[in-house]
Amino acid sequence: MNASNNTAITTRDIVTIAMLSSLGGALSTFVGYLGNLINLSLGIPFGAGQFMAGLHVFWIVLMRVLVPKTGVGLAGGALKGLVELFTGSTHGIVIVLVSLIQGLIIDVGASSFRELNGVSVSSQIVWWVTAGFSSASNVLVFQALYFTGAPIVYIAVMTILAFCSGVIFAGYFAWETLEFLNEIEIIPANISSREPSATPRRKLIVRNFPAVAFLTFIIVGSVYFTVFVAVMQTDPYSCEVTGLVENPYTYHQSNFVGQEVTIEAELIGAYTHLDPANYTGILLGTILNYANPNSGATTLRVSARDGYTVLFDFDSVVCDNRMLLTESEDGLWLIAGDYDGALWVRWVTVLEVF
Amino acid sequence: MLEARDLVFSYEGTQPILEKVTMQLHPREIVLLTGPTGSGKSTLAKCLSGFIPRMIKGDYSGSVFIENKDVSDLLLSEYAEKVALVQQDPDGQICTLNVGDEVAFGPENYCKDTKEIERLVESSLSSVSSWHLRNRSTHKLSGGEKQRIIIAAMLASEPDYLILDESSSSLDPKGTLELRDVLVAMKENNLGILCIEHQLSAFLPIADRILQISEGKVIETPQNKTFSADIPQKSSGMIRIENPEEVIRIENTTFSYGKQIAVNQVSLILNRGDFVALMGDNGSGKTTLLSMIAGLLEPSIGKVFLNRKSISSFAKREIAKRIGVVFQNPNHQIFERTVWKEQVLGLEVLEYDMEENLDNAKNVLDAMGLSPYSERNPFSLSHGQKRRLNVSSVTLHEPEVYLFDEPFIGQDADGRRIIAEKMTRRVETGGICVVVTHDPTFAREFCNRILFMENGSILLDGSPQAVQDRLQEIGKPEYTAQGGQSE
Amino acid sequence: MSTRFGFVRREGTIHNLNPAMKLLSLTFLMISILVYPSWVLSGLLLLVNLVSFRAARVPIRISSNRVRFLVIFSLVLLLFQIFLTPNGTILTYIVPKIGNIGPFIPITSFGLERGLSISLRFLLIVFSSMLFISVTNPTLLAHALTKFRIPYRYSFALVIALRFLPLFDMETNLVRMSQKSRGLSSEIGGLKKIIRTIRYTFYPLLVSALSRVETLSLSMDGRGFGYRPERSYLQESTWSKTDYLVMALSVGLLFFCFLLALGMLPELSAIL
Repeated sequence: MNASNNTAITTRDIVTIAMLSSLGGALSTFVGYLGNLINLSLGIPFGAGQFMAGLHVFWIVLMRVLVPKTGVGLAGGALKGLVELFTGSTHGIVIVLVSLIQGLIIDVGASSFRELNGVSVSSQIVWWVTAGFSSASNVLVFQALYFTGAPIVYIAVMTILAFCSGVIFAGYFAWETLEFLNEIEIIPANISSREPSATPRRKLIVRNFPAVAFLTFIIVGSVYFTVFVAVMQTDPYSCEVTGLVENPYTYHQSNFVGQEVTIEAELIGAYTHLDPANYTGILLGTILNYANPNSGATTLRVSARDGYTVLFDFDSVVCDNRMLLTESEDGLWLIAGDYDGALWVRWVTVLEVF
Repeated sequence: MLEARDLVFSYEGTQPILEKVTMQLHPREIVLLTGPTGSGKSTLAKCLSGFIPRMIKGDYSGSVFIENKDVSDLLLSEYAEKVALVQQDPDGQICTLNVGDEVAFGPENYCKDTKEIERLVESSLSSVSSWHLRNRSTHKLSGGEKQRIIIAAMLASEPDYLILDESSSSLDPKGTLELRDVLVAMKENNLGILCIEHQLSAFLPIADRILQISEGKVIETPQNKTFSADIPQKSSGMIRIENPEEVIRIENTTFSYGKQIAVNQVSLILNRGDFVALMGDNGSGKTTLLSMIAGLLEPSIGKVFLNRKSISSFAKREIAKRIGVVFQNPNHQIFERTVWKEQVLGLEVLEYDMEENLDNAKNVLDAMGLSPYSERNPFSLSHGQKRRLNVSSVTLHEPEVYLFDEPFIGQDADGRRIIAEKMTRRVETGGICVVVTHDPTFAREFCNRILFMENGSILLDGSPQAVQDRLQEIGKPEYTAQGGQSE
Repeated sequence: MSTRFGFVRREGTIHNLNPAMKLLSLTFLMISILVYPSWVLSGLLLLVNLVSFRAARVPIRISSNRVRFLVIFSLVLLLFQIFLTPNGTILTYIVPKIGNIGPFIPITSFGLERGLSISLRFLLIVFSSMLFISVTNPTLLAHALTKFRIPYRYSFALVIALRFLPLFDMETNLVRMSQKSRGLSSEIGGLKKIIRTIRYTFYPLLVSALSRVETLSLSMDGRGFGYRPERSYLQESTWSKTDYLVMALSVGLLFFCFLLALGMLPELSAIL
């Protein structure tokens, strides 16, 4: 049809993708404005913007549905990212990465679904959830970039918010939009958006059993994982003992009843000073010996939740009877009675021997 | 010679649009093709330019011959080197950021070498007298400039025949005159040109032949036949309200977009009974002035008063109750999903009593000829219908002031009559109408005042007769009924 | 109505670098600094970046809202880290000791270091991106991408998207204005209202955009778009020696950062 090259992607497809990317880029200002309105009405400085996250994925979903070919999500995401980069996005080149990942997830979701079911079973629910994941992915990228070390609860709330936004705006709303576009016959007729609404919801679910099962698995799995990780990370009174040890384990003070030691220590830092006080806890030597360290161990690395790390000489730690882990108001503190104040570590999470 | 023989076409499952169309276009001639909305003019253009049946599918038979050779077997890209199509919407046809790139786009696709591309860009741009635009950004061009650039971009593929589909519809009278000169020059260069026009008058003086399409057939029309303009005739005389009362006053206002001044120190009073035609070139500030009157743009300098109070002291809804605005593009002002919901949206938003106004809403919709579509999606209506819906929904609650930006584009005679009557009634009952229009006949027949803008200032303000006489004197005959579109 | 592009047309070494190479280098820079987020390294690179702005004769308008926003946001990031990091040598307290109360919220050396590394990284990424868009002609970028075996029909989508952006910006304004003229305002009370607000803005624009798809694709096909797998270019970017040099530098940086992150250069990671 179109001259000598035989590609399946027509000029029309390319123009459609370009137009939607462009419009998405142009409207991102408006979306940001809506986010700010919501922030204002809730009286918070930022964050509710994530509630609008799905509106960015909306465009990618639209492209992938209007041009139903594998790779369109990825390409559309990249293109939308580039458009936003060129219009001076506050995130610079990172927006390309974010958008690219969102497109990739939409692509994976769209094509995995087809393989799962073979025929054209209504893909609505899978689409919606995929859109949710795609939308949630932006939180993780931005978190890694800007808010390293932020409390996991905060990140979880943001992720859930972005996920819901994806389901609502890039799922439900996108489908409403497709129906609207069908109505005015502006898009090719063979792209049907939704099963006739007459179909009872129940029937829909039964007919889509494989898809529903797949999704339930993903959702339950990810919730379980998130909760598990969250509990792990948020129990401030535990810490991992790992590295060159025979018996790596998770330390809890309650497992060492009767072995508590109390020392008096004073934090004398260069600029700060904590008055002498009594600290009760378990000696580091006791904790490490319980893990049965290998004989070749030379160094102990103590890591804190905020990413802070300190190195100690392993042998002197084992012999030191003024160095202990104590339960403080906000987590495990390492008190090094004989060391300079700088070596006190708050929020200890890992003791690694090597 | 470009020749259609027995063309029949229908979009899948619909009534045939073309039924055995046969016509010829010779090199070195300008042919006008006219016909009512929906008569198949654009479909014929797409057949002659090869898009039907290559890109657009449907039930197609018949054939196109170029220099007596059947060209059915040519690929679109090969065909396009012989016949080029310029479509209606200039913005929708530009695909690059820069004028030079746009014109080079075709030759680049045909893998011409750089020297050759440069030559083609220069010659094409020169032949539409736009060489000076070559380094400009495409989005900063005026509508007329865009149209000429697209023609140049088509010429760069060196076609023998050029088809223009309603290309004057978005142009102001000046742009239309310039386009006319360009077409004549191209004809001198041996091109065969087919101009498809709804409003014939603009191109009548340069046409060699006139064809008319109706009921799927094309017939030749004698050159000397007179074409009546689509303007409804008005019986009553000019409206005059005793003791004019001020409704809107603009004091020394200036508005600029960044560095570019759109409206410059304009002062103006609009009284009850004013029926104003706002005229002038595109880009002279008409739409910006309208938006300031409606309180939609805050002037950078100066003030706007509504009922003697500063317009910025009114709430948005209070202004909407008093002033109804219809913008140029109907798609930008439709919000609801059915025609009926769109019709009553204003009542809902402005908190009028729904029950009370229900009958009125139905009647108005009916008068606009839109009742049969009340459950349809308004975006699926034709351009003319959308426009009437805009007028209908904006004026349902009878605001005192109507501000209409080119309401007649895309309207057939009936539509024009309905809208013109609506405005007349508003003025007769003590309201105000301001209409942006390029139509001098309408301005003279209906309005009692013309404001003529140039470069952001009001150049002339007075009775239609006085202003049009003055325009004739200062060398702008295209804006007067004598020298303009309805000659 | 004004364009939102940052491209400043100039002649100069940085402007004339291959656009695709610039995009690649920017990507490498981003990866490098994500892999090895050190504040010293970010700071040094930021300095190089600011010098490049000078060299390219592209103004950074410190007074502009955007730049001001970026600087404020980077300060927020800095404070955020300081609040969250209790470890390290305590330098001072944000809330000093008053009588028996306080002191509260210590600023620690480690918190400061981490805060700096994140906020400098942010500034580095954003300012390099700003430099990139000010010195890169998007049309040439699309053309140059074909050198990476991206078919020109695909990379051309970037040109189309950027060409329509100012038009859609203008149309967005028009739609918002016509909403205003009807008394409609952006309502956000409840999901239903939010969706309605979005619909009122998105749908008119979507219709307008999609109704142009047919016109444009006919217009492009009618000018031989995709006629051949290759095409020629009126303006094309080149690969020069400087391009190789800059490319080598950015690949080098990437390599270097991986080595640092893996702890293979302990002497250097002690300083950087």
